[in-house]
Amino acid sequence: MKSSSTETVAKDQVDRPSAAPAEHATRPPEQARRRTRRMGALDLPVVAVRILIFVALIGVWYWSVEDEWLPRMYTATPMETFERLVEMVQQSSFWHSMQVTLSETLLGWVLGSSAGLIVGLILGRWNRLASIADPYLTFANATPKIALAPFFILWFGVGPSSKVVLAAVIVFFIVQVPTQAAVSQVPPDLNTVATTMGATELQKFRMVVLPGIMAPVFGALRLAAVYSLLAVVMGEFIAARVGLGQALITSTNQFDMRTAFALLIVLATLAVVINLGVSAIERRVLRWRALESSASSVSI
Amino acid sequence: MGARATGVVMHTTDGSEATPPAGPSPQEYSVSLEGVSVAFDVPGKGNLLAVDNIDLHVPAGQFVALVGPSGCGKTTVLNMLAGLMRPSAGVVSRYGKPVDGPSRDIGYMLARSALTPWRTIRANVELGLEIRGVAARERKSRAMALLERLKIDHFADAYPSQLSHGMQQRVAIARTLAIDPDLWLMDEPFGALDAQTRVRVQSEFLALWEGSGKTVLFVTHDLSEAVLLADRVIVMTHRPAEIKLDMMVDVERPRNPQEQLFDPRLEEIERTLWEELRHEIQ
Ligand SMILES: Nc1ncnc2c1ncn2[C@@H]1O[C@H](COP(=O)(O)OP(=O)(O)OP(=O)(O)O)[C@@H](O)[C@H]1O
Ligand SMILES: [Mg+2]
Repeated sequence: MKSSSTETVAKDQVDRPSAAPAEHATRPPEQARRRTRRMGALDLPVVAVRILIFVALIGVWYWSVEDEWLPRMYTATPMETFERLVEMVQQSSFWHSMQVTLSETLLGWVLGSSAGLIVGLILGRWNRLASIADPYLTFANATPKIALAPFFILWFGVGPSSKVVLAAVIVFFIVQVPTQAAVSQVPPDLNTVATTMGATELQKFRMVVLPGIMAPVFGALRLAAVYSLLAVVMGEFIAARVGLGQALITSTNQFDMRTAFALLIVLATLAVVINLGVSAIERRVLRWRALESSASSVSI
Repeated sequence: MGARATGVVMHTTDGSEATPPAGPSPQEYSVSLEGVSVAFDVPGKGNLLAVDNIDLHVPAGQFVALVGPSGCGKTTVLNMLAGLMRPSAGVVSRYGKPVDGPSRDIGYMLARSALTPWRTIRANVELGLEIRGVAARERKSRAMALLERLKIDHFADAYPSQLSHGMQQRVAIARTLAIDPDLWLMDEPFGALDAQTRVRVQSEFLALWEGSGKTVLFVTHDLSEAVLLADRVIVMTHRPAEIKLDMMVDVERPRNPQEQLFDPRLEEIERTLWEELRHEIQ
């Protein structure tokens, strides 16, 4: 009995186009997990080249400042920037700005994503409704939404609300469009299977549609988080009392380039951290996809 | 199960008084198609008749294979029984009751395995039970029992993309049967498998069915598969589908596809069927 079942496994391997090693057949989940871990591990030559590029970039930065490619008063060296950064993180005003900008970003992201998700789901489900809404959404989406910032500041004030609204509007379209497309791209077979098993509309939504759109939706949410930060910083450029963007525009206006460069680095780091945060959630939710891509990468 | 029991009772009470013993009453047939026609409205081409006036009665517990040229309307017949569509004319009924939507005692395995990529193998098999609100522990034990019988239990926690095609089909079988349906609708379940894998999966499938008392409608392109597995083979004409030939396969059970692949009696029946079918293909 034992031998016949292993035989089945071995033979089934043959009809698989990307025949993996035989052990893969008997212990697939463990194998795949090991593989993912190996892919995540550090690849020394890659790390070495990355460090080299980093050093070279800092070198170019330093050289360009010292050599005065631009007037010295418009630039700051890496060292000056780093010193200012260390100084800044010890000031409570910096952390206050950080907190304001971050909370505006988060709120804009959550509100815009929720609205985008809901509208995308509804329009993806009811095609006729989508046909009605389509010209309006296309028109609204085509508008450069940053141009709305002055209006929002006028309507919602110099405080956080105008930034949150601007971020939410930008985030809304980033999430709504792919969500709507994803709903209509859920394989109809999966819905048919659920239908024949007697699933209600609600069950189909929960068991087929929602998990089926997760991959594209998460891609959109990750992008949206970074755009939310972008929108908030832009809003703060135009008018704000506190915030990293406000601090940045003030420092450039005063030719305080050390502060400006330090803030630029803070903002870039923030965007990277936000991106990593959403990716971490994404990896947890979409575990099956990580396994899928690792399985296919083996055949190369 | 319940519907079937009532069918039998109704026959004994009704049958003794009214109808003479001219065959089973409609209530006793697991599946009945009476004068069933299906026309599709194809934009630009008008009405396309896919199924033309079919009569078919399948007693409970019979394994029926449906064979016919590609595009003749086999899937359409299964779709009607699964309650996914209605006939344009005629009546499709089960135990005398017209089919008016998906039913919980029918298992339908689509031609494409259509596994849910984000669910593990076990969770895929549990889908129907979950829809039915069966408790998690019960779901697990039923899914694992089926996976064991199909010899893929060690893949329970894997995802479909990690499985070979033959294994995916076995998972689809397990998913279809996990809800313990009374009628099994199988649409070319083994069509895309290589010859060796197919014989294996056929044996496993037959072992699950034999002695279960369930009714099977099994669509296939493969005559030898039809003869090997079924009690009765229906040959359909090319579109619009009519029944060309209805033939019993009088070979004892249990059968063993691995040993009977070249059984002369089966080959004889297959030859007869082929003579009928080849005129339809031309
Ligand atoms: N939704 C539909 N709209 C229009 N025509 C359809 C539709 N579904 C099926 N048909 C047509 O009806 C005919 C029968 O289709 P069906 O899928 O039942 O064939 P089949 O016997 O299962 O074929 P195959 O063996 O290739 O699977 C085909 O000619 C097909 O083009
Ligand atoms: Mg078909």
